[in-house]
Amino acid sequence: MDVELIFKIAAIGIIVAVLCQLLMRSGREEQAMLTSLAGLIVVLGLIVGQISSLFSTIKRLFGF
Amino acid sequence: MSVIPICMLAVTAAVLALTLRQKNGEIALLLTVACAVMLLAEVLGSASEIIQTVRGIVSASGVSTGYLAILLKVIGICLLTEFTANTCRDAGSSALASNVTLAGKLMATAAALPLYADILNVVTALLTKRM
Repeated sequence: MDVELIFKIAAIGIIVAVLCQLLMRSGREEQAMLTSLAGLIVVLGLIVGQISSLFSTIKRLFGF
Repeated sequence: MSVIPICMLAVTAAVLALTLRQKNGEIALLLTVACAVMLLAEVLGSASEIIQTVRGIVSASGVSTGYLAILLKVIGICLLTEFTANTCRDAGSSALASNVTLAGKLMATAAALPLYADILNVVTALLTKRM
């Protein structure tokens, strides 16, 4: 179990929030929206592998 | 793996998600999902011993192993739908969560239909023997 993943996601969230605030203050709402979308996609890519491994474990264990 | 790291990981993830929820709700939700997935994957790795033991008990008692396969399948359906429903409820869409639960109930009933057929066969055999 890699606890680093949780901290990685939290760090990405904090960085994206700070970037969003900065871009909002400087009046670039579209870029702030795109930044938050990019952060969301990066985090999704991080956890998709974990979810697929969980589902394959359940499949193997319970004989679907 | 003992229970203490699991609890500590859950509390850490909850605090981090609470911190993030104000500014960045989506990533907070994904953080809780990642924590739940990791916990479940870790615990299910040790659940194979339980299943092996139950298999041994069932094969020793002479019950057909087809019943055990159905039971395990229903347990898997319950686990997956519960996980999905909790995630949906966490994301704030409780209608989706209850629909997933309903789908899980229906699929569990459909998976258990051969058992109903077996019970019916036993009952009809008893009744015809009585008559």
